[in-house]
Amino acid sequence: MIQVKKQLNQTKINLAVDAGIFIGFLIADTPHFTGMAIHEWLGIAFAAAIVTHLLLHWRWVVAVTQRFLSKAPWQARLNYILNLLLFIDFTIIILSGLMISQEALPSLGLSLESGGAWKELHHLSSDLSLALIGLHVALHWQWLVKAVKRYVIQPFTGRSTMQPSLVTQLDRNEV
Amino acid sequence: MKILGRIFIILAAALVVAAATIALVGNDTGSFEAEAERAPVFQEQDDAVTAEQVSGRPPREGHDEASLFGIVGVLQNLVIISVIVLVVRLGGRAQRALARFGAWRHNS
Repeated sequence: MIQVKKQLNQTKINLAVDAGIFIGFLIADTPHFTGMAIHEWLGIAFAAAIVTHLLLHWRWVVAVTQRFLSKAPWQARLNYILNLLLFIDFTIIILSGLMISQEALPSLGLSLESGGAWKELHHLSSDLSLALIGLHVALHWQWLVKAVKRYVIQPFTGRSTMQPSLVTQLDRNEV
Repeated sequence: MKILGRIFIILAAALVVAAATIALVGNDTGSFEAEAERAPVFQEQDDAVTAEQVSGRPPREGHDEASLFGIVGVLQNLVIISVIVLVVRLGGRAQRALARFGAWRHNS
């Protein structure tokens, strides 16, 4: 019973963190909306958000890494490759963003002299991240729908839309 | 302690990606100076010495200030992601339907 409750809480935490990262990404990706200073600080905060996301899914990362070349199902392999590309892409976005920083780093007294290539790379990797995020959301769509039904819609409607067994399997369906 | 170790692994992986990127892009510092040399007209027109000219930083692009109209960009990104999700989900359903149809034809 305690184990089931722990899993439910874990799903709730995952949903909250992922929703925060998604909304943060949408806002940070549009400097016209936020202004350059918020865009840059949100980008830097994004690094911490990615680390948190990876820590929350650490067991999955380790499990698929170990089974990747032997007996992992093709969906898990596809997911793993996509997540790896996302990690590389976000690292490049944050790095190139730091290299062309106009507000965040200068406010800390740091100044990096960088040219147009970093700017191009920043824009290119940012555009690519949009497609990768879309694929990432698509691959986790079923988990997302179930979790939103359980933790967002159900508390308002007050009736269960899912069988208890499906609720407890939410975490396992994440893969 | 375990979490610190995991954070260290994630940061090490990010460092590898960063090092590879820096090695590929190189120390690109000359582009803006070259651009400034190609377009001297605009610099001559502006007599005032700006902060960018003093610091040697590139001129800004005009989206430093926040604008409520920028919400269009947020919605645009949301639409792009939604379209990708829709295409992938529909593709998956079509694939399953085709597989069922193939199995049905094979049986009949």
